[in-house]
Amino acid sequence: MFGLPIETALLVFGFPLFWILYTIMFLVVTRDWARDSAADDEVP
Amino acid sequence: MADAKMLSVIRERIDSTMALHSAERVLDDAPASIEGKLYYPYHRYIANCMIPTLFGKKDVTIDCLVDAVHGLGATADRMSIDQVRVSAEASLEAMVELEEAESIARRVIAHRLGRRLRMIAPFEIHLEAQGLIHKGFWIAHSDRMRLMIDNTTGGMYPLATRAAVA
Amino acid sequence: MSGTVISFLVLYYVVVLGIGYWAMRRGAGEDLEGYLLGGRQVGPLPTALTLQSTSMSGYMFLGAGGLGFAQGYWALWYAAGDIGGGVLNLSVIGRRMRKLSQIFGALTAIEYLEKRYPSPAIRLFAGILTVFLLGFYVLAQLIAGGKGMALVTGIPYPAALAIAVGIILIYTFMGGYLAVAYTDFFQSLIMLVGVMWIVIAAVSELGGLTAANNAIAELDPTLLSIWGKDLGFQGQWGVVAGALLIFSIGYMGWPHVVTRHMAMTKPATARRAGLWATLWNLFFVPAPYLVGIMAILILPGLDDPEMAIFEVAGKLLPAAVTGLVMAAIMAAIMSTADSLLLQTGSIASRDIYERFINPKASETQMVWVSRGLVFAIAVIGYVVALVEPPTVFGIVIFATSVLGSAFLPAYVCAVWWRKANTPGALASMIAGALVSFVWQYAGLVETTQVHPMLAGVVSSTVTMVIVSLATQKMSPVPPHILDALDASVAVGPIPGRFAEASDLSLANEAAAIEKTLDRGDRHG
Repeated sequence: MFGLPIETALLVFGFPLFWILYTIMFLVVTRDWARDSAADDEVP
Repeated sequence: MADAKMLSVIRERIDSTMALHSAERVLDDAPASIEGKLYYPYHRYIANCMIPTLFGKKDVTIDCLVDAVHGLGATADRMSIDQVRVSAEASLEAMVELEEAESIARRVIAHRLGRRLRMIAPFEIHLEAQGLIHKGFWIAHSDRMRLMIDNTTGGMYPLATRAAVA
Repeated sequence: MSGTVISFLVLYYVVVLGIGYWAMRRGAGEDLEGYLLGGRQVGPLPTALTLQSTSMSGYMFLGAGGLGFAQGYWALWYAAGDIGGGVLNLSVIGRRMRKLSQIFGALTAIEYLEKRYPSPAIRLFAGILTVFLLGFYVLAQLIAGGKGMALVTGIPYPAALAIAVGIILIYTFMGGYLAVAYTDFFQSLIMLVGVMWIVIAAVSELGGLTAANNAIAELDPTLLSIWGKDLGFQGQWGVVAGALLIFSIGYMGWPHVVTRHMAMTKPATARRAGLWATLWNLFFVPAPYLVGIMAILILPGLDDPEMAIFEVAGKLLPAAVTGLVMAAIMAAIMSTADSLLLQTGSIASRDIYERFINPKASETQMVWVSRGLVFAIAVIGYVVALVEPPTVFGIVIFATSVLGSAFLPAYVCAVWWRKANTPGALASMIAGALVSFVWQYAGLVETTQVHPMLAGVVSSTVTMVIVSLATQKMSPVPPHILDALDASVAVGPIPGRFAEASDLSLANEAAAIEKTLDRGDRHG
């Protein structure tokens, strides 16, 4: 892949993929947090 | 009412109807009621500061409140103050001395200025004590819990007290 | 570097000063007050851009590039952890630390530690260690600034270094005059475009990534491996683990980074910031390492590996663009140095001088202590940078290892473990700092094949757990802190929606009102 040995390709692409998944999970688990902004919007 | 006194109070923007409406919304529309209002004390200061700029020193005025129970300071937006008659039990007692409050205020403002302007400089802070002011908090409860609603910002916070009494 | 480069460099600073001038002219009275109160939101994009671009510094442009040049794809072990450092930090500590620091009323990350682990010793040790290590970070920026300035302008290094130090001092003492804070967004934008341009130019120059890697393979196939040049790190999982940890969990031990959590206005900020951090890091973290690797082919005769990115930019970009990008890079470096110095000055004056030497210190006295320390760091830094400049990479790895090892358990356990007590925290800080420091200087990395970061973090974590548990009875966590921890997590059986909708800033008022209501309930 891109002329790289397999372990290097895993390093180059594997970790970024892990962090993308972690971030998605973080956003999913904390989706309720967005309500905090909504609550503020309704205050006159 | 007996033991009533006049308090300087930050002007209310959320009345009991609005407070109740907010409370019911976050309590998943469970029926709720407003128990009453408590007044929380702050030492208020107005700070006149000289900010160094390329065009000479700029005069800036910043409001600062020091929590008179816990001694925590924070800068604040401009506020309007009303005089309100309040019963003694409805207001919390101030515990922080004036001298301590003033040094807290000074510290908070200097820190804020340094951070926001990103420079190390003496800002010539002149504090004018405005005395004790209060903020009202509506106390609401449902059958499950109690919460308080800030009557100026509408901000809410749960209260971990014994089970609410209807 | 050509006259065109220098002209555009100068033009850049003229534009920046112009923006500052315009912003200040506009910002009379109310606007300035609004800005100072930090009230209204700037908007997620400028905020995110500024937050992330403050991570662009001497390490990125010199350290990372230099490592890529010297060790090939091995360097990406450091990037692998770094990509997630931002979101990890925000997801693990972010919101809870914000809430806890609000309840404590702490202004600095060091004061926060003393409030959570009550003891003057904590503040003193943490304060001194942080000032010492942040001083090293500043040194890294000075070297980066000086070398960059020398390369761009052709001025000899000693003079260029002096100019860089001078500009940094001006930023720090007089930043307000220049409305430095207003121009961050513009600078970040230039840098963003510039870095992307350099990467794309480097890869295109070599005919694409595959062609480049094939060419490197012909030169020296070990540069493509995960074990470094000549497979020097083969099988050294202890070193690899350290490289992964240092910029992933390491950030949670940097007082000057975790201090940002204290400034958040609402939980939603942490969420958005986490997303932006990952998106930004996916490109910008590996980019400098990659450019360093490409430089192996583009600049085979390069003397100083740490100049790889500057030299690639100079060689491949149009002169005007080079000028602008160099200027943005220099600005980033100096801005980072400025931030570090402001933090260091603040810690020295508040957490050490006011706290221990002169509790009645006036603001003016504290300003002079801050300035004095900043000046001392600048002078010492100049001398070291001139006489025996270490590599930027070396300095940053050293400082991060010690900071991360010393403070990581303290900051993480502060919000996650109710039993983390003062003796545990103090012992863990000392253990972490000592072990990582000694590991580095006694050459234990070579003998044990374990990275100082790994050794340090393991030591400090184990120490925190053992000492906290062993001293629970004689030094329990005070009840008011346990209350604060409860408040920072959730309160009782309340709907999840409400827990997250709470206004974090009302925690203290709530505590006092609860007591008043309880008294009232009792009296009927």
